[in-house]
Amino acid sequence: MGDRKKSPIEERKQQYKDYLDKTDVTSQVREALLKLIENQPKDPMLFLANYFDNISTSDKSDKITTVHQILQLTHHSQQSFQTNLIVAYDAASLAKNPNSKKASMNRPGLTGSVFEELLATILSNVPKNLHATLLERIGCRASEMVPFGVFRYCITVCYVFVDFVKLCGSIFSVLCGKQSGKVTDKDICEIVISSLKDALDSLQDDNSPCSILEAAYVLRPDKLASSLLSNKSSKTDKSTMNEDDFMKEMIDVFTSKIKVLK
Amino acid sequence: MAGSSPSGDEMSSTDYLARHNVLLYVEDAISQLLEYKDENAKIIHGKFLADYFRSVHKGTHTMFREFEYVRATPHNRSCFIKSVWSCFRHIASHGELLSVKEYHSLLCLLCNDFPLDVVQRTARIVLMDDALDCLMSFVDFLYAFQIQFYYEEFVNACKEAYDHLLMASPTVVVPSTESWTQTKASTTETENVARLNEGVNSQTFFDVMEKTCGKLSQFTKRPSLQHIHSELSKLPKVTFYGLLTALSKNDDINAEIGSLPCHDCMLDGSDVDIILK
Repeated sequence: MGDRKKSPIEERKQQYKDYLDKTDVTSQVREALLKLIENQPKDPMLFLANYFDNISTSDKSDKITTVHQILQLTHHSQQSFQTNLIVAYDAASLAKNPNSKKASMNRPGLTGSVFEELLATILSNVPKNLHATLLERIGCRASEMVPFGVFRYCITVCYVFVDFVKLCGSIFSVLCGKQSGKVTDKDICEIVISSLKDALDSLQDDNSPCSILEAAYVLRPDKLASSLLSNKSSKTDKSTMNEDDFMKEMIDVFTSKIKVLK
Repeated sequence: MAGSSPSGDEMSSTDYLARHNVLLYVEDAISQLLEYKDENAKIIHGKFLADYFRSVHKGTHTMFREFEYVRATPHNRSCFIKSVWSCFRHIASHGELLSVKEYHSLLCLLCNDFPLDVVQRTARIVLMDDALDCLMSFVDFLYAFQIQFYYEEFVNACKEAYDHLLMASPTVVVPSTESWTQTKASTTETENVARLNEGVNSQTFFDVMEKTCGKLSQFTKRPSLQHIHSELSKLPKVTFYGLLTALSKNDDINAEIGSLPCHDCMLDGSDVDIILK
């Protein structure tokens, strides 16, 4: 096979190609695109920016950060979240030191302590007093090993919880309306809280789509509006409720429905 | 880094990538990286790429880039328009009037190979194709520039529709429309000139334009038909540049594009606001 003399442009192209391969840019970009297609975020540019940010800091990051990043790639309602859960579980279960001779170091599996730390990271944006009750229910002892089913359930609950807290916050501001200060009529709040409680209580244990729809029906806008309006007329004593108490009560309703695992 | 919020159904990978012009940006990112590494020995690839994509996300990526890149995607075009506004808005507050060549020089400061042709077409919109050496205000120029540059393909399709109507025989039969105008024969030269000045029947124009625009790719941006129709329905007859001027002054279309503030708010706020928005 004779030596074909390459034109300067072809040589240059080959040089660049080799450079990109050598510095891992090619494989990184390929990975990034695969993740992008899998997760289909609304803002691909921001997704890619965050992805490459994480790559450049990944040498220093620990297991928890890596796993957390994997879980953050997409919203929990998306199909690709299920795939990410599996990848995250595998990453979290990596043995601390596969080459170690000590048995405790080279055994793979998700330990309770890693699991608890992960939950704490996910819930880090929620004030401690609000998520304490949730952690009581789904936390586990440090020495226990966590199977995938439990992992999936708890992680999903955490993310739903984070969304729920945000939602409660915005409900409260809506109830406050144009009033300044973070307080509003206690009765209105109680009605909202009890509506949620009724809806969740009516949810039968089988979690069939039918019962979920029925529960959601209890929360329909016109029913809520009519119960709020009917309260308006019977008002003699105006007691108020502030945001913390409202949040706490709503969260209690939420957590009462979570299976106790501890 | 926040997880994305729930969104609608997933589309095919090729559609998703095409809709967001992902491959174009990735290719450009890599070319920029290769160019950069030739001049700078020390480079952290992950950080460079992260910075690139972040600047695309923020909209600062079109400054001082070549025209081919600026024109390449709707996002690039709208970011460029926004940069023109934020960099030169003080001209508006001083109320200066500038010529075509002067606006071209300004644009070349931000994009050194920006073609004069685009600026000239913008001038035609502002000046209604008349007295093209007239001076223009910055505000008029900017909104007309937005229509000409952001909706370039749509404007060309519109012109095609308009020319078709002008050159066609007086009996214009547009199949499958409900209201077409059938005027009498005899095309004299005076009539032609009159038609050039008066324009064409608005409803017919809308119908033909709808068809021509239908041929554009699904990813090409165009103003929503509802807003075009609302402008066309204001007058029975319309000229090509009359329509474009009307579109440039339409606040709904401006809001759709999302680069510039509404006409009344043009001079509000300080420069800090623009950069942070």
